[in-house]
Amino acid sequence: MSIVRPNPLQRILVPVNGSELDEEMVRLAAVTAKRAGAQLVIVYVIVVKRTLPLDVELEEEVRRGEEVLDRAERAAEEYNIEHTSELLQARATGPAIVDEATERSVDLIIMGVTYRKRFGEFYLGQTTPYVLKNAPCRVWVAREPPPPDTP
Amino acid sequence: MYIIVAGGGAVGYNLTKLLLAQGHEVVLIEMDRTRAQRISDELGSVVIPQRADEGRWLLEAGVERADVVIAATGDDEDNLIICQLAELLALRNKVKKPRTIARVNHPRNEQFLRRLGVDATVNPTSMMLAMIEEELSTHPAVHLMTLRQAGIELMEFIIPGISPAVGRQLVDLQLPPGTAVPLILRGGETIRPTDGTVFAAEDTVIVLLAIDHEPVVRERLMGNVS
Amino acid sequence: MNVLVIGSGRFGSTIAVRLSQEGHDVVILDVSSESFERNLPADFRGRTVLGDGIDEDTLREAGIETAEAVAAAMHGDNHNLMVAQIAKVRFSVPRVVARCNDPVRAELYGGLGLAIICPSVLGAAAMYDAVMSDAHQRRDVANAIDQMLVR
Repeated sequence: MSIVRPNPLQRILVPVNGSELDEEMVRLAAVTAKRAGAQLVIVYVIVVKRTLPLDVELEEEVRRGEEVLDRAERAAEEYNIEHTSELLQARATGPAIVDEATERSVDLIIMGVTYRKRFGEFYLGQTTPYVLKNAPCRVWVAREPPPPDTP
Repeated sequence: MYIIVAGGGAVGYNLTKLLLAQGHEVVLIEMDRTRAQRISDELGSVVIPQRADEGRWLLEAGVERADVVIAATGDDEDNLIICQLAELLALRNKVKKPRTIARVNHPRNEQFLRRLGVDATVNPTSMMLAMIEEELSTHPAVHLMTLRQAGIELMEFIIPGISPAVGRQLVDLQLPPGTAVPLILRGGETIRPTDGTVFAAEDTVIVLLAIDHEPVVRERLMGNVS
Repeated sequence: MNVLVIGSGRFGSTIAVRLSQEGHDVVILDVSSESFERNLPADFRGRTVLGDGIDEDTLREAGIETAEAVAAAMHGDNHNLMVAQIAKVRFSVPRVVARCNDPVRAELYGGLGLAIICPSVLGAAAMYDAVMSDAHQRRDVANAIDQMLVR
């Protein structure tokens, strides 16, 4: 019996932001990339406030972004797959991820969501809904488990 | 240039689009979330979905490094306050004041807004009015004589440059039956027109016509401005 | 004193009624006759004028040229700030006060030399005092009950 398979994955994008979820997501993406024989693209977005021009040089933020990307690449290296990383400057994270996915013809975005509450309610943030709505490809979202004392 | 546009109605939205196309850095502040969302779906992350008349959002938009602030909402008082806030915030934070431009909807507010520190005002209503008045004042249609009992009048028209009659022959205008054009004054010259006479801009045309035909003749000779 | 009050909501009407009771010549202006009916007592002795507060003809009709004071007390901050400037700059009214609920705008325009009343800040301060001065509050309640009992 044959099942209908989606087109084979060529390129997987995983955004990182320095949270504890980064490593887990990079490993998930790397395993997936390995099985599919796909390339892994790791992205970190520096959000530039509108009080500054978009191409401003933000030394501190760039250093931090590079650290986060280095850590992610070290994790990816263990899987012996083709991978690359990119540091972006943008006004908002969601559009930057979507633009990058479009430009690189990515087939799958894998992103992590921390368990957060705002004003007493679970809060998904702005980036994840934007990517879910606007990404030109498949999106996998993985949420971390709630903290043990969550009612 | 860095330009802040306040108000994403038809004016603000199209302005933002044009300015972006010209290569400027632009941010649009639009308080209606649905509208803001629709515009950012189309134009990218150039929209702040907030009120421009609250100082904090102007600050977040980077008013301190803006070269120009354009207040393009539909309310004159909001546009005034947005421009003044931009100026006051610059003053408070000791940075160069951006050039402020306000859309003014009520003609009478135009001068007043400039007096209160707005650098430039744009008023669609008075712009259109001025254009029409300009056409009308330099190109009047004058009643020279009316023979009411006969239902006939003698009129003088000055042909505006935008008139459809310019460059066309008298016969082509298909003036209503009974209409006569006995005389055209061009520069210092008088012309006794024939069917083949071609009209030029600024011709003074004397016409004998039935009173009922006046609107038609007026339109053929002057165009739609009158 | 000739006083023009602009805006016949609860706020503007309260001022107009009090000034009128104290014997001042009061004109009150609003876009809606319903506001007059709802917020002014039947025995209000001042004059009511219907119209837009930023319209100069309406302001003239309401006697701004002879007014010694103008209170801009409409709901919209921007409306009030514009009317206040019309009164000050165009008609040289000696005393002009504007209501402005937004503390930021209130502070900035206050610096321009306009007299600004910010109900949200004043109200919050009064409420804060009431919350914090527990003893004071209890004394007031006790006094009130005493008075009731004496009657």
